[in-house]
Amino acid sequence: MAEPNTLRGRFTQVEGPLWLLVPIYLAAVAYFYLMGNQLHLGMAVVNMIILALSIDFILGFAGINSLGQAALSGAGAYMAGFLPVYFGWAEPITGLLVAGLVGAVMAYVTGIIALRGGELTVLAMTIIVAAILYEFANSYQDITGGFDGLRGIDIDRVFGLFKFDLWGRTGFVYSVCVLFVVHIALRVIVNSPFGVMMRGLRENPVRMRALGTPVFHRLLIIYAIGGFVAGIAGGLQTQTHEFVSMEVFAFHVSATALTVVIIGGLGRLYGAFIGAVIYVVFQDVFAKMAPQYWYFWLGLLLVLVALFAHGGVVSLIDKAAARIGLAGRRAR
Amino acid sequence: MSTATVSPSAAPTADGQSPVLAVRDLCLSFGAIRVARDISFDLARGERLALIGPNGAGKTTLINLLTGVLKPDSGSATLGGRDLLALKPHQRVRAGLGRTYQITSLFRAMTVFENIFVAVSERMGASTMLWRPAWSRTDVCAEVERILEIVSLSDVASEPISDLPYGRQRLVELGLALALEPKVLLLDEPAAGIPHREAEVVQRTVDQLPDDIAIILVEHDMDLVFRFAREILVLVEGAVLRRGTPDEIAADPEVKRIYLGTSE
Repeated sequence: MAEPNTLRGRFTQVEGPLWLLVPIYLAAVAYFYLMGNQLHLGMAVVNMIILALSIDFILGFAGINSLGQAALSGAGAYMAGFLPVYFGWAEPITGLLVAGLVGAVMAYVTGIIALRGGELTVLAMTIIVAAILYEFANSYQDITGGFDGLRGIDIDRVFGLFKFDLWGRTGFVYSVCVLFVVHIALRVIVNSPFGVMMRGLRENPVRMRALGTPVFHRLLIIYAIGGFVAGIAGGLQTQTHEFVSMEVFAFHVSATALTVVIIGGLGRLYGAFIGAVIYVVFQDVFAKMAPQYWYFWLGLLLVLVALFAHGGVVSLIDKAAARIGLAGRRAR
Repeated sequence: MSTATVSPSAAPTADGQSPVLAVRDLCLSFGAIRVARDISFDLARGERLALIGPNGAGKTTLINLLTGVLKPDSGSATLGGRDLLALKPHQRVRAGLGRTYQITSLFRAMTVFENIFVAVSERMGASTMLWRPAWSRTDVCAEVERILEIVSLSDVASEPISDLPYGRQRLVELGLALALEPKVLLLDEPAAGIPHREAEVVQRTVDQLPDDIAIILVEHDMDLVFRFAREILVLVEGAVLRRGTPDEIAADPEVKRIYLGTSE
């Protein structure tokens, strides 16, 4: 596929081959028809994938540590709720775009403070931003609905045709379509000159500055793009559930999404897909077995990944694919 | 972007051209320790200047002052007529001040081609392009190939940096600096720590660098210094001791005394 002597082959293959899109989205179609009574679980997976993609984009590709992605997705989630409730704007697609924009603006503005300093500083700052927003939502319960959630979210039919139903049929298809668009857009970006620049920032930001790159400004833009995707994830959740509460800013939302990317594999968009599926299946299976202890199994999985699959589950698949001569070079 | 000029320091040199780099009276102290004392020198277009001096003489300090890592207490520096000291480090690079590092500082998980691509696409304004595959920017890619040719790395273009022997990594370092089309290039010990056989390739490449670039070489290897430099600037204790041709410097009793270690 990636011959070293073609121009394409001179670049690291950061993404799986294009045909991988087919089985992935065919699987989503199959799920829709075969697991019609479990579409809410499917929506949860799709939502998790989008949020995980936003983290993979900033952390896996550009090296921005974040444990506060909930600040960005939460902002989008609330915006998607505020629009129909306070502004009478119930059209879903434009609503979702506005949610994304709010996520992007939130990322850009908080990034001005949060992205200064070293890796741990950034990590701590992102946590703090999410915590502040959480308390904000708590303080203004008459607007946000607090723990009980925002009441009266009623989203219009998609394209004026498909009503969000109780079984999640519309919600699932809508979510998968959103995921597809986000996935393709991110795929294009990580393969662009901008994407190469992002990996440069991840590898060696000091050297990037010496090459004339305005590092901080670029990180802000990357963080804002990640914020856009996170805002979409949050907005999607609000729209498909027609519900949002201050829980969207909770720490475990950020931590879960980060865990998903680490299990799946950083710096490979497919890592988010694999990680999200594993996470949700784990949660489903083990939480039924022992509701109090299912985090133990997740912890065990993380330890195993750290020990045997540095680079996440996707790296194991890479190795297997390389053995049968399918894939090109690995990303990291 | 400001193009403030500082006229008095940009005095014409003997051949009538303004110097590409003009440094005047740079001073820097850390508390009571003066690490740069009134350093002044000019650099003409295409000049080959070597910066030598014993350890702690202030060579690295001078480089850091020029690149913006350190801020001088006083003094001025202009690059092509622009006030260098008013620019941020990345703006200095864009203004034409390139450098290589003593310890290679590369993008290790990326291919040789990508390393140079990052630099070239930044210079050609392509690195903010989001919607096209990187390999479809054939203009940028052609320029990358050209630079790989100069630093003789075309054969390993698709290899990740981490797979290259150290000597060839130094060539990538050099390629990165060239990719920015610098007017002035600071080479910080380009051949340090490389096995002898590989060092030869680095030296040959340094010798063949384009003529229009003014180069400042910081180097301990006196063979390389005397082979490369048309002029040598000797720094001692943060001040300029001498400037002259290699022959003049080699014959200078003061320089000899310092290098033989009879001072202090």
